[in-house]
Amino acid sequence: MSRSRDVANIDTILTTKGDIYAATAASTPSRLGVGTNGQVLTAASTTATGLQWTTPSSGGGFTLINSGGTAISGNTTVSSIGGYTHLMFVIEGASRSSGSGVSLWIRFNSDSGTNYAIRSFGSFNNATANSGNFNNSATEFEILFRYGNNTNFNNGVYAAGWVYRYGVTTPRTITAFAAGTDGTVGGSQTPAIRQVTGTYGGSSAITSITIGADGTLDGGRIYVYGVN
Amino acid sequence: MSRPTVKFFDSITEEEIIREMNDEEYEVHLRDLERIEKDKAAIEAAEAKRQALLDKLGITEEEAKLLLS
Repeated sequence: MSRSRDVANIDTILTTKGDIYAATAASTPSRLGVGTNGQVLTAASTTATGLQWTTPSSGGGFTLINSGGTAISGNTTVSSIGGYTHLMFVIEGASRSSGSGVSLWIRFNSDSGTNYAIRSFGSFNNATANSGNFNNSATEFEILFRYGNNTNFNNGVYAAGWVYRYGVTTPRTITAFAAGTDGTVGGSQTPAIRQVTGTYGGSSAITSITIGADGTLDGGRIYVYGVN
Repeated sequence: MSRPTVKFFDSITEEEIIREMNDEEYEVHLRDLERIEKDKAAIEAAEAKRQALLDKLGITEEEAKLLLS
C-alpha cells in the first residue's frame, strides 16, 4: 500500500467534529468521538482505546494555598489567596519568646478598620470561663486573649479557623478556636482557650490574611487552605 | 529604637519579604497596643471589683457559688 493511500484511509476514520485518533492496538488507529462539554480525557485501560471522556468532579476538598505553610515572623501576611469559595487557616505554635503578650489576632486585606464583629467565650486568668468580648466594631478578629500571665507564650498558640464564602459580598462568617500557654508549669494564669465567631464586613474580596499580636511573633507557622 | 518587623508571603510567586513596619503599619500597631491595654485594664478592674465584693461579704468565691446555686 502506498503512503498516499494510507493517509487517505486514516482520514476516513475521523467522521465528526472533535473526533480524535486512538489506537486499539499497535498500528491500529481508530476513532474516539468527542465527549460532552466540560469533560476531560482520561486513561481507561478497560476500554477498547484505553481512553474515555469523563466528567471531572465538581470540586470539594482542601487545597493548601501557601505550599508548606509560612513561617511566622512578626505580623505575617499571606497574600494571593483569592479564587476559592471558603478559606481555612491553621496556626501551628505561634509564639513569642520574650516580652508580654495578651492578644493574638487575624486581619484580612491588612484592614484595621472597624469592619470586624466578634462574639467569644473562653477561659484565662485561672477563671472557669469568661465572656465579655462582644464587639460589633472590632478592628481585628481576635482569636486568643491573655494567653499568659503577662509573660511570654513560648509554648505556642494552636488555632484553626474557617472563613465561610470569603470571596463573595459581605459579610463573611468567621469562626475559630485557639488555645495556648506561656509554658509556666502550675502558673495561675497559664493556659488560655477561646472559641470565637463573627463577621468581616470589608467591601473587597479577601486576598490576604495576616496573623499578628501585640508584639513581635517569632515562631510557628500558618497554613492557609482554599476550599471549593 | 527599631520598629517591629512584618512579613509578607505571596502564595503565587512565593516571594517573601521581611522588613520593619512602615509608618502606617506602625501607627496601627500603636493603636493595637493602646486598645489591648484598655481591654486588660477593664478586665482587671472587673476582677478587682468582684474580689472587693467578696472581701466585703467575708466569703470566698466558692462560697459565693454555693450561695447562688
